[in-house]
Formats: sequence, C-alpha cells, structure tokens
Amino acid sequence: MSATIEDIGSERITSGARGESANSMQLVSFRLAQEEYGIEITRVQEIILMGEITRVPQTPDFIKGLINLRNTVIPIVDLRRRFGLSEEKPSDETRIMVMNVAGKTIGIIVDAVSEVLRIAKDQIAPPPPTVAGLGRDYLTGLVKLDKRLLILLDMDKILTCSESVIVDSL
Amino acid sequence: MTSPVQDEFFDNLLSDFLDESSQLIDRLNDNLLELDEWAKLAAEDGGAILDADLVNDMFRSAHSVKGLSAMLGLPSINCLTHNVENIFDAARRNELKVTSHVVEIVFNSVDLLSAMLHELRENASDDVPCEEMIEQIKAVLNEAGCAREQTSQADAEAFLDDAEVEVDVEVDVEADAEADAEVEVEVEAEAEADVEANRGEIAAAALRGEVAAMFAGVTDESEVPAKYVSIFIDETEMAVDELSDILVSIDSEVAEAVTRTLLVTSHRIKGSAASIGLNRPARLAHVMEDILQEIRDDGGVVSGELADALLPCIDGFRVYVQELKEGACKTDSFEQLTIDLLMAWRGRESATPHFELPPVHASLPMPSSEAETTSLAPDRNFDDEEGYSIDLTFDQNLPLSTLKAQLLLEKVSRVGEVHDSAPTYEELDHLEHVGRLKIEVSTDESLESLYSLVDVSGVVSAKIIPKVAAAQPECPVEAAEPPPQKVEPQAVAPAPPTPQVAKIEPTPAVPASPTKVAAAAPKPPSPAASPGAAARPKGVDSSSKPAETLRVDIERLDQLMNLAGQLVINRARFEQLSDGLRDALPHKSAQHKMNNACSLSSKLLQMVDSIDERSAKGQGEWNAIKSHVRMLNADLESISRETGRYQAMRIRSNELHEAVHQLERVSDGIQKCVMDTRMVPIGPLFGRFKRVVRDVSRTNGKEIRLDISGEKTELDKRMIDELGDPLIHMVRNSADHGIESPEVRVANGKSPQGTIKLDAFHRGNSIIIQVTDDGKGLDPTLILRKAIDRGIVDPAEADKMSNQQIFQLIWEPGFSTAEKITEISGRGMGMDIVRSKIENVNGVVEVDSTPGKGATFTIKLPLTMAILPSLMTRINGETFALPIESISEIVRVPREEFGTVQGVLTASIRGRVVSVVRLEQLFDGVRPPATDTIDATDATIVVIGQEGRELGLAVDDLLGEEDIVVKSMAENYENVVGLSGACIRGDGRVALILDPSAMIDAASQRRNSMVGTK
Repeated sequence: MSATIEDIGSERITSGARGESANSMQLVSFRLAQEEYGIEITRVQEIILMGEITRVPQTPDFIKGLINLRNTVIPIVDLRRRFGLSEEKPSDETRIMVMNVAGKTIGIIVDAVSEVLRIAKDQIAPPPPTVAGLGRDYLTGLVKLDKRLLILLDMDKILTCSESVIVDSL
Repeated sequence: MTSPVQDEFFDNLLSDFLDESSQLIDRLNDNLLELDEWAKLAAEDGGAILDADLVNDMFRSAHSVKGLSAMLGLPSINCLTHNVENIFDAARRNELKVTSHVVEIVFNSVDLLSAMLHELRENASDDVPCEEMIEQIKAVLNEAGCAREQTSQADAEAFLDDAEVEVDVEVDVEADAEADAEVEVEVEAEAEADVEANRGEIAAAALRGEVAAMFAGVTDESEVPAKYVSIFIDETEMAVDELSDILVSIDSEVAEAVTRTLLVTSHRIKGSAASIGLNRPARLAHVMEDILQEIRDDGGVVSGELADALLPCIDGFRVYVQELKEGACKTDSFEQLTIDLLMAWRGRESATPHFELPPVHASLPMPSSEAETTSLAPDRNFDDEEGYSIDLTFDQNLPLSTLKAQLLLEKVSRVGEVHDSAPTYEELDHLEHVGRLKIEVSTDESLESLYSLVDVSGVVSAKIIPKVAAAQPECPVEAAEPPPQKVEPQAVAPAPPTPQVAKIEPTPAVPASPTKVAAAAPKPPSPAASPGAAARPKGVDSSSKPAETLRVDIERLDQLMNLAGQLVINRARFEQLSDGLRDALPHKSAQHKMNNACSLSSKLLQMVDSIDERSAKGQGEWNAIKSHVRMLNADLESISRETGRYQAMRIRSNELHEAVHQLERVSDGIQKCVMDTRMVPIGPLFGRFKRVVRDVSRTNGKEIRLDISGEKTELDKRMIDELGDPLIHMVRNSADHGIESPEVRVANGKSPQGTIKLDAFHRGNSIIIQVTDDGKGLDPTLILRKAIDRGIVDPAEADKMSNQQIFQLIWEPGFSTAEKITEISGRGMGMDIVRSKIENVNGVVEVDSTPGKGATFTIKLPLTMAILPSLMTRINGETFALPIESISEIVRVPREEFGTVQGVLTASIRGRVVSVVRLEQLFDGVRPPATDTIDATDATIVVIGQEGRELGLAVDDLLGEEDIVVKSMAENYENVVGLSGACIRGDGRVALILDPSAMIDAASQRRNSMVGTK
C-alpha cells in the first residue's frame, strides 16, 4: 500500500495529478454545490473547520484571505468563487481542506468533505471536451462510481492558471 | 571510508576555506591600502622605509590562502595566490621596488581573488580566467629581475596543479620548506660543532639537535588577538577530535583514504596555528604532515606504531588548546613531542636513517646571500639593519670553547656584518680557553632570531642589546638557558616603545593601551618578543581568556529568532488574558454585598416567623410567603458559598499574573539573547569602503579622506549583508558626484581634500547609519530639471516644491543627475534600488543636503529584522499593522481642515498640506468603509513617509503599538503589492502589514493618472 502512495507521489512529479502507472489510487471526495469532486489523498494535509479569515486586498476574488495554521500564514481559496458559483453562507459542514500545491500550503473551502475512497485507474475517464474548455484545464478526469460521478481536480492548475483565467474572463 | 563522508568532509573544509579566505582577503585589502599610502610616500621621498611587518603579514595572508586552496584542489586560486605571494616575497627581499603600479596590480589580483571566491561560493568552482593577471605579475617580477626560479616554479605549478593534489601539497609547503632549508643549513653548522665537541654522539642526539634547530628561531607571536585564538581553539579542537577518532578507531592498519584525511587535518592545524603566529604548534603539525605525506606518496598506510606515536602529539595539541582556553600558553612540549614522533618514525624507517625532507625541499636553492637567508622564514620580523651587541658567556668546562666561539662568530657574520668582537676571530686561534665573547654586529635579523642563533650548547648565558637600547642606561637582557623554548613569551616584558609602535597594524582585539606600554617601558626588552610583537601590550591575553565560540548555521539562528519572536507575542497574549480574567472577576465588595443579602434574608425569615405567631388569619398566604422566603434564604446561602470561591479564584488570578510576568522576563531574555547572537559589528563593512574611496579618488584625481566612526555598533548579521550594496552605492555617489575636484574645492574656499564620513550609532530603538560628505551637495535646480525632463514632476507643480521635496525626487526610479556616466557610478543601481534594499530590511533612508556644503544620507534601521514594532490600526473594520519606523506623526484632523487640491483630498496638518487617502482608494478589494467620506467628520490621520514624500492615511481607530513577527506571504502564496507581509496577533488572528512605501507610490501613481486623464 505504501508503495502505491509512493508511486503516486513520484508519478506526480512527472505526469501531474494522474497516476497512470499504478493500478489504483486513493481520493478524498468533497462536495461543492451538489457536485462531487475528488483530490488525490497524498495532496491533502489535513481538514480543518472554518475559522476567521483575514481578507487580503489586491488579490483575485477567489482568494478568500489568510488564516493562521499553527503559526503559519496560509492563503484560503474559495472554490465556489473560483468556479464561478454562487456564494453561500458557511454551514456546519463547510470545511477547509489544507493541501500542498507546488511546494506551498494552501487551504480550499469546500461545502463538505464526504469520504476517502480507493478507485482503480481504469475508472478514470477524460472529461468531455465540452466541459473541459477554455480555462477549465484544472479538470483532469471523471470517475464513474456506482451511482455517482466524481470530478477529479488538478490543484496545481487551480492556482497557477489563475492569472490567465482572470485575464481571459475580463 | 565512503565517498559521501569524504564529500561532507570537503564541504566542511570548503566552507571553512571560504570563511578564512574572505577574512584574509579583507586583511590583504587593508594592508594594501596602507602599502599604497607608503608607495605614494616613497615616490616622493626615496628614503621611505618599507614596513617589513606589513609586507610579511601580506605574504602570510597570501600564503595561507595558497596553502588552503592547494589542499582543496583549486588550481586557479592556488596559482594566482602563489604569484601574489611571489610579489610580496620579492618585495620583502628588497628585490622588488614597491611602486604604485605594483600595488595596483596586487589590488587587481586581490579583486580577482574575491571574484574567484564568489564564484566558488556560487558554483563550487574557481574557474575564473586569471592568466592575464598572472602574466602581469610575472611581468612585474621579471622587470625587477627577481623572477628566477620562482616564475618557472609557478609555471610548473600551473601545469601540475591541474593534475594532482599531491603536487599542491608540495607547493604548499614550499615556503616552510624554504624555512626548513635554512634550518638544515643551521643543522649542518650545528652538527659540525657537535661533531667537534662530542664526537660519536648517537643518532638520537643528532635528531634532538635537528629538532632543536627546527624549533630554533620559531617562537610564537606573544600577542595574538583573543578572537583569533578562539577561532584557532575551535578549529584545532575539531581537528584534534577528528584525528584522534581516526587514529584510535584503526589502531592497526589504515586505508589510504584515511591517511589523506589525517594529512588534510594535520595541514589544517598547521595552517590555523601558523596563520595566527602560533609557530611552535605549527611546526609539530608540519612534521606530522610531512610524515603522512611521505607515507601517502609511497602509497603506504599508517601503521599501528605510527598511530601510537601520533597520538601523544595529538594529546599534546589537546593539552595546549586546553591551556590556551585557560589563558596560558606553554609551548615547551612541542619540541619533545616532535623528537618522539621523529624517533618513532625513523625507527620504523631504519633504512633511511636521515630524515629526508620532501623532494621539493632538496631542489630548492640553498640560501647563499645574506638577504635570502634572512627573508626565508616567513614568521621572522624584518627590521632594517640594526646594531646589536652580543655578549655570550661560555660554560667554564666546555672543551674547545675557542672553536665554538669561532663557529659562533662565523654564524653571526653570515647574517650580518660583524664590526668588532672581543676576542677577535684571530685572537681566538691562539687562545686556550674563552669564557666570554662579545660581538658587535649590524644585521637585519630580529633580536629573537639572533638569540636562537647563538643558542647553542655550551653557551651559559647570552645578552643581546640592540644599539638603540644600548644607548640608554644599561638594560641588559638575561637570556634564558640554552634550550630556546625556555624563552617564553610570558617570562618577558615588552620592549620599550620603539618607533615601530606607531606603525603596528591595528589589531582590533587588542585595544591599544598606551598606558600599559608606558608602564612596561622601563623593563628590559625581551629576547623572545620581536620588536613588532613587543609593541603590543603584554598581559592582555594572559589575563583574559579567549571566549569559546561555536559555529552555527545562520538558518538555525533565523528559525530561533522567529520562534523567540513568536514567544514574545504569545506572552503578550497571555498578559491580555490574565488582565482580562482579573477584570472579569467580581469585585471584592461583591462578597460583602452577598453576605449582607444573606443576613437580610435570614432576618426577614425571622420576622415572618414572628408575625406568624401573632396572627392566625390568612394562614394559607402566610405559609406560602414563609416557604418562599425560606427558599430564597436557602438559595442566597448557597450562592454566598459559591461566591466565596471567587475569592480563591482571585488569588489564582493573581498568581497567574505573577507567572505571566515571569514568562515575560524569560521570553524577553530569550529574545534579547537570540538577537545578540546575531549581532556583528559594522566595522568590517565600513572597512570595505576604504578601498572604494581609494579607487574613486584614484580614477578621478580627487583627494578624499574617509572618516569612519562607530564601527563597534552592532547590527543583525542579515542586515549587514543586505546593507553592503546600498552603502557602497551611497559612498560611491558621494565620492564620485559629491566631492569636487581639488581645484574646484580650493576655488570654493574648501580644503583640497574632501571628506566622507561614515558613522553608525544607536538612537532610541533604532540604529542610524550616516554617510556624510562635504562636497557640492545636491543641486535642487538640476534635480528639478531632470525630474521635469523625465516626467516625474509636473512643471506646474515644480515651482511650489521645497528643496526638501525636490531632494526626495532622487529616490524615483530611473533618476540620475550625473551629467556624464562615469565608470564608478551613474550606471546600474539607482537610488530607488538603494531605497528598496533598505526598505527590505525594514529600514528608512533619508537625504538632506545643503547646496555647496555637502549631503547627508541617513539610514534608520530597526534593531532586529525579525520583530517589527508596529502601530496596529483599524481601517474599515479590519486590522492593519503599520511599521512604526515609517510613521512620522498621528493627528486628529478636524472636519474643517480637509480640502481638495485639484480633486485630491488633502488635510492641513500644522500648516502643511498633506494629501489624504483612504485605504480603499489605494487598493482593490478593501472592504468599503462604514461611514461615507473622511471630510464629513473629524478623522484620525496617520502620516507616513518623510516630508516631501508623505501621505496621510485615514484610519478608523488606533489599537496601539505592538511588536509583530513578520510572516512572508510569499511563503505560501505570493507577494502582494502594498503589503509587506502578514502577522499573527496575540489572539491567533492574521493581520496584514501595510507597506508604506508602496502606498505612497500607489498614491502618487493614482494622482498622476488622474492628471493624465484630465
């Protein structure tokens, strides 16, 4: 099992979020506006409750602000805003998923964290071209489960492409 | 031994090398400046005397770098330093006349050397082309006709260096080898005498003689600055541990790699000992190195016996280091240790009974001329020809004493000119026995080496009196008994101050204490202390123990600093909490009130009971009232018991308060300690500018004097590192643009020599660094014209600007008033970069100038970089920190004082008109304010920046001053314009730190764009 994680870890360096060589991978799934998403478990550092977030001027609006995570200041990305969804008041289920992206620690706000699940690599299908259009290259694939559909995200692209997305959307 | 271990070892060595070399280069630079002064003087006055100590010191520096670089296999550095060394060598033999041209070349070489070191630090390679430089050096040497074998040797080296480190080692010991060669000559002379005196003496005695000769003339600098000693102690301790580890662990047979490690480590001990003038320990290390070298060359391994022989030597070092730490420094043991070691070594190598010096030594030219003999040993002091009278008393029972006397005479005549002797050489031929020998000699040998010269067996006592001293009332020296090691530095007092005293190169760790010298002056001159060493007051190092030091990775200190800062902030939170707790507790009187209420209710109960007895009517109601009152009473009593516990809580709260206070003391202490750990004096940084100023004055034909004061002021290491570039720029600016040419200065009624003053001092909670020049100052009209040309200033506004405001324009990006771009300044970094560099370390820079009189640049820095004293403010409901340094004032501005200038909101503050902004006007994404506009009500304005470049920031509320730890936003996100970072407040929330400079920029841009759109 540990070998699998290592494989995925090393895979990440070469081919992004997709773990193609290993047979299976573990995902953390979360909910955002009725849709279910998945992120590689190796990326997720911890899941914390919503706290007070300090707003930062001069930043894109999906940067919700900064929080203090055990004496480290980390930025919080509001995924709803990032995906252009309507804003909602945080509920009891709202969580911040703290993850490592390109050597930095960031938090993302999600509506709820659902579960950890293991999927086989061949369950991943590429996103339909109509969905993965301009500025949506952070979608890396879809996972078909029994009755659900899981959207796989590449967190690197969620942050790094932000600038170009903003420019495009203007 | 595996390669990673080796790599790590060499990495360590490399960083040591870089450290040491940088220090040596700084020293070289300093000395060169002195030499340069001298060369100038000499050009005017042919009779100027070259300070031999100075050249020697430089030779030693160059030699040390050479040796170290050879050890590490750095061919370019090695080759270059070797050539530089040759120059100094030639200079001290008086074969090369030191002219400004020569100094210039050496300067360039040293620059090149720093470039190489830089390259080495960055890319782990010293591959910087240096052939041209070497050619130049050779040309100089050839000109002087003293290139000879040195150059050819250097050539050979250039080739060999690439091939083998082995060769490097040979090269590296070359200078010592030269010294050894001399020693050998002495050995021969000695041996002759010995043979004549005691024929058939066994090899061991010869060996002893040889070693004695080896140590003869090798004395330690009696006065080594404590700070160098402590470095030596550190290094040697490390090296000794390493050596004994290896030797103990193997004990039987050692692999070749281990031999190499042993060799390198021995060399390191030798190098660090020799570099601070502890020559006796260096000698032993040198012998160890020779032996190991020989073993390695033969492809052999260190045998168990040799390891056994080496171990006592290592113990000797250990004991020595221990003694040094305690302030003593006995070096007696080294000679015996060397003898034992050589005995053991030769005992093994019985096939080669005579200790062979490495091959290079043999190939060296034997010293023939007097000049050469004297200049060979690098640690000698060279005086100009001086007269001495030598008075020797022989052992009464010494056989063939006349022969011995003749030999001595010959020996002395080899190093100098013998004017007279009693009895004379010829007379000695006829005498049966001689008890006393007096020699009048003039030589450039130092006193100490003369002593070692005449220190042969049979001589009971020796007095050597310098002629200068001899002219004074008798001050004879009681020489120690024959073995030269008895001539101990402690036993002697400094020589009377000779003219040399003034010339002694300043050694910072030893404060020049004229009183001490004066007090010691009447005492007789010492045999062991050379004139140079003697001039440094004795007793300083024997009374003060060298501090023990530890090298720490600066990253760790950074971390520690950060944590300490965090601790201070958490402590502040504790304080808040305990204060809050105290306030939340009910007042003491509450207890009384509660008791009162209880007694009242019990009285009420009694009254109700008594009424009950008198009236029988309305029994039901009464019963109800009674039961209620009873219940009330019971409740009150139980509440009263509860409130009683508040008392205990209050006591606990007080204890908490006390504990927090203690925490405060401890955390402040930790913070201070950590801060102090990182503090280094600014002196060396200032020292660098001597060179800068010299270069400028040379290129421009200006006469500039650099006054340095406050070099003891201590700053955070990081800050010093960051300040280098901006300061160099400022000094260059002052020298290049500020100071006028001598003609202009004279025409303006100033002295032809311009002055640049560098000063550093503490003021309040800040450190101030000032660069002042007495040049032409900043020209407001010129600046204004340039600013208008470049569109920085609106011509319409220009007239209204005060001089102070105009001066601020020099900080604008891309601004330069230099009419022509010179080689030195006026290109590259602009003043805006200077400013931003200083702001990077949370500093502020200001300029002030009086046209025609000069200019002053003032840098104001916080004491530490990790903690930023800030004003916490509330703006539109959010908390922002503003660095205190940048705040010039805080004012409450009444409504009617606001106005607009061309649509820009301003406030008049004490007669000055300051433009005022709200944060949301500057930055996007700031929550809009709760109230409408500032000018509708009175407002609190925080004025940031300095006059001429200031901005009023409207704030809702001031929360007070707090020390904050700056957290970089780039660590997990990216830098945001207008913010210099974030901080975590006592309550765990994140607050943003505003960047005043960026805000001022944003404000002026906004204004400009408004002007543009209109």
